[in-house]
Amino acid sequence: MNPGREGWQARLKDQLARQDWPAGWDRRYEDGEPPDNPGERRENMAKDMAADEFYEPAEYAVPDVPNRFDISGYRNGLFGGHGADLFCQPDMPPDDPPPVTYDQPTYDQQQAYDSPSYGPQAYEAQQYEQQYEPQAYEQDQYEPQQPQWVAVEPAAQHTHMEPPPPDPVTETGSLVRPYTRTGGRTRPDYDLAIEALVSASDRGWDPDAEENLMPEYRSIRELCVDKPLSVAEVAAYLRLPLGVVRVLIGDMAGMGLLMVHATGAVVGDRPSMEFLERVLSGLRRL
Amino acid sequence: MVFAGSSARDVPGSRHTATSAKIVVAGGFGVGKTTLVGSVSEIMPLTTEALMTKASVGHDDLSATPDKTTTTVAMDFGRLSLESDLILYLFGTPGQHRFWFMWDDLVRGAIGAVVLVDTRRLADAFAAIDFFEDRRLPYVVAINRFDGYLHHRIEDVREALTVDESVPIVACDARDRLSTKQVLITLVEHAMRVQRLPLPVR
Repeated sequence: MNPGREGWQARLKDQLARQDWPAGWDRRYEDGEPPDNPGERRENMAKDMAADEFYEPAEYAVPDVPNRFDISGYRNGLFGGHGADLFCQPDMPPDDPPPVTYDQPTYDQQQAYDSPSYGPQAYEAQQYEQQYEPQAYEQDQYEPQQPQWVAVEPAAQHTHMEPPPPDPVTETGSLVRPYTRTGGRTRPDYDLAIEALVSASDRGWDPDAEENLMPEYRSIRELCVDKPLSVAEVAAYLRLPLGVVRVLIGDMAGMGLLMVHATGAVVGDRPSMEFLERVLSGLRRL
Repeated sequence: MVFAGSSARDVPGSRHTATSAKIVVAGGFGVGKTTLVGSVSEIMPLTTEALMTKASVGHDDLSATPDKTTTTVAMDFGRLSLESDLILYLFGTPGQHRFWFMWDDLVRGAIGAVVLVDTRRLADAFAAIDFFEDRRLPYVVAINRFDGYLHHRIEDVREALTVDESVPIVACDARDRLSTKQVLITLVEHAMRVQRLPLPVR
């Protein structure tokens, strides 16, 4: 055996042992050659993540959660934006705290994850030996044909690849975190229509206290300093759930940081005739 | 955000009160709600759209719109400044029925609704029509001409949908700004007509 190669293997082994690999990172190469193209590689990684037990749809505590999608793995990416406001609508039962209904790993899953068969040692023991000890290198074919290098390839890739976060549980909190900003409240102190316009107000505004403001407050103020924006727009631009933005805007209006404009003159729950006429002539002018 | 001669912070001091109104755009999946909103909106419609996956094929009927690969899972909306201090928002309803509970929030205080229909799948509009009739929200039916042709007579559509004579039914091209504008004008005119009528006794 070439001594240089041995050194290289030792370094690789070291590197592999130090890394905290998530479960299943090596499975994708069992069926054949690893893909060469990085896009394909990422795709495969996503597939593996989706296949992973942690990305399976969770059991929901609420019997009829309206946004129960079964798009395993992709769900957080897709529904983390302002679509996530679905939990905080007035019609939802009040005593269903959204965070609890979300992906919590079962005890068994957690155990499986903690068990040594998924740990770095397991990789070292099983995968490393399987992949690097056998024939290819023993037969001393140092200028190998393609297939023999293929066996090395996965390891080489993994040393450069960012492993998925080792604890997927922290990733599934897309609904949890925004509500920590509202102190867990899902309803604003007063009723805010989704089209209600808000603009920054300098009443109650103390420039010296700016640093003490929550970053969300500052972002919201900055957004609507220029022109009034609707609650829905603020939510969309900040990519926060609508329910969260409602609570934040309600608080800010209470503190005098924001002014909430009146929505169209209303008779009962319908816009007044004068207001409709204004809208109509505005539309005709378009 | 920065104004010549004044800091951005001064702007709220010179504020005047603006007013907003909203119109709801409803209809079945893939009927063109987002297109309609986008055709008149002055901003890129702000949308929450998720990629269509195998998981939602079961929920959404793709047979009539095989090219549609995304579905609106939350809501999308556009903005139209009618005057400097009068802003109209167009809100697309969530495409799927399981979002029914958001509709209440959407229709509260709305001028009215546009029910966009695809004549190949008229039944998709039933849920929306029922809902607006129940809430007594003025609405118009707009038939989206996907290929530029109106395949059915408007009277036939009215009969199929069992929509009252007083409800306007118009044909439109959701991609066309002028066409969408005309639909909105029809709606506001209809809303004014309804407003003048005494409330029906139930």
